[in-house]
Amino acid sequence: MDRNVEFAGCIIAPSDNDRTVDESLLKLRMTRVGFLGVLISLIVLVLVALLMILDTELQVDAFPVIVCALVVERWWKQVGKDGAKPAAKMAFNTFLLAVVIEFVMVSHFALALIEWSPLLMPAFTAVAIGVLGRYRGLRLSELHRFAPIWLERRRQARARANPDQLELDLELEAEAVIYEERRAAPAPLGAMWVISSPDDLEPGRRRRVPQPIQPNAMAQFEPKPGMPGRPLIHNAWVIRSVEDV
Amino acid sequence: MLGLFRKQRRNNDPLRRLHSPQLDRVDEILGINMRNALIAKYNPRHAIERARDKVAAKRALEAAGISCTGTVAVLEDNQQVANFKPSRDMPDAWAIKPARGSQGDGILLAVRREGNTWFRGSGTPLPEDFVMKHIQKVVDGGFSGDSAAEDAALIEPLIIADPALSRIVPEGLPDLRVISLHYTPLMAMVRLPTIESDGKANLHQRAIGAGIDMETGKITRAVVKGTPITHHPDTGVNLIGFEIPGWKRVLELASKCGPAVGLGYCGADIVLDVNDGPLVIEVNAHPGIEIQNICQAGLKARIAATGEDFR
Repeated sequence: MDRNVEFAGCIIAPSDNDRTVDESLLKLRMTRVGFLGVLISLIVLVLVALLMILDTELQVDAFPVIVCALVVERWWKQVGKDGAKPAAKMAFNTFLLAVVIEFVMVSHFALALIEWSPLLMPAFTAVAIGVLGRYRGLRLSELHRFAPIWLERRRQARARANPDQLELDLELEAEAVIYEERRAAPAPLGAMWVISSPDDLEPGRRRRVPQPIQPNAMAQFEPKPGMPGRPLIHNAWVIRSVEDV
Repeated sequence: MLGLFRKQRRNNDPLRRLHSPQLDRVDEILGINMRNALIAKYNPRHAIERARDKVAAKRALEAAGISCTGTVAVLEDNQQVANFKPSRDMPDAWAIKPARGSQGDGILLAVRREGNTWFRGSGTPLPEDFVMKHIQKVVDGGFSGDSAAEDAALIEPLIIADPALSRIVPEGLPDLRVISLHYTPLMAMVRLPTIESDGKANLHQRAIGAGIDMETGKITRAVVKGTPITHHPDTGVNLIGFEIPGWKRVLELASKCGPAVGLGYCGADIVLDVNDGPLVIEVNAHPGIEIQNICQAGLKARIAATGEDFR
């Protein structure tokens, strides 16, 4: 990969300026050929400006310029399609790969091989592609991608081999479901009893929510002679039967 | 005879006996390398080109007597675009699609009309000049990948989903994907739009993928972005056990699609219309392999069951 392409691509593609330029061009509703033509002209301007400002050895050649234009166009399409974050992630991965390839290509080992025989690199590539191209099995990334299928199969096979294990798995699953349901249940209201069904009225099932006691001079906690009010029995509802609900 | 001899030799192969059951399970999955090999073997280049072009594929399907979505107009060049007038030529609800588009790019939908303005499902107005500019962009190849310099705009009447399916989704059009080898449907899933997917039946945009039992047409498993679910997150409808209406007809259509277009291995996208029942909207020459994760089953094992030799 051309070093100028990587350099200019990483500067131009994710920058807000060119994104704005790209967006403005899209608003003009030009044909794709016209769009790319204007974009290439703008990229040449940016590269020349970088050349003058940074005083680098950046070359404004046709190949890097066209690749830069395609990178900018692809970037904006990806932003429009998937959003800025996935597009940025994709751009970062591409940039990372370009950097790795760059380091490999300029490594002493690769340079020594190329110097020893310029034909060695293409010959090695042809052999490597010939071997790898015949491979029909799963890729490494696919082992991870389809792992849930094998895990489920393994669980089923284990269950068939050992039914007790199946029961254990089902219990664990049921516990997980109960835990999730409890987590998803809304928090009980303060100072109230939560009664969802008549079963909750059974003595063992009652659930009393801690009630915050707020001192109040007019409240029933401090009986005052002569003050009107309810009899001081309890600070919560008293429910003795279903009819009390 | 030679096949029998090879099979016998394979069964007696001591190395084969060393294969663990785990390796056999790994072998059930169809990876992208093997899928590409299948495509190279069974899908000729001209058939792939035909499937890629929605207009050409539709013509081939209709010629084979397969029910497809209707057509309002096909605009293939600038002259046809210049003679086209949306207010005169388009119905109240429609879909504009690039003939060579992919992944839903460039599809514009209108659900109703007031005067010369149409409206998206979200309520965004679509004035006539906006519609014309969109058509022009489609014809210029703006949504057709990097290699295409021009394209055709396919205008279809908007499909209204079968009420049985539309009641389980908040908005959008659910569609079915059936993978077939020759005349044999192998695996199927239904893609259900969610609010998060913005009404699109696209699994990458958090639509639900639900695996379907090929025998009964019932949903067995539903997944959204890799997480198994049982109920639709927006409507709360239980998905597991839901039976796809007209399942036998869906399978019949799916089995005919590939041969009609000239493809051996393909994925048919089918929608259930409220009036016309199952209709084919597209035939894919490079169907994805994520369906295996949705259905929790390997495509390779099912293909092997049809007699395919993977060696």
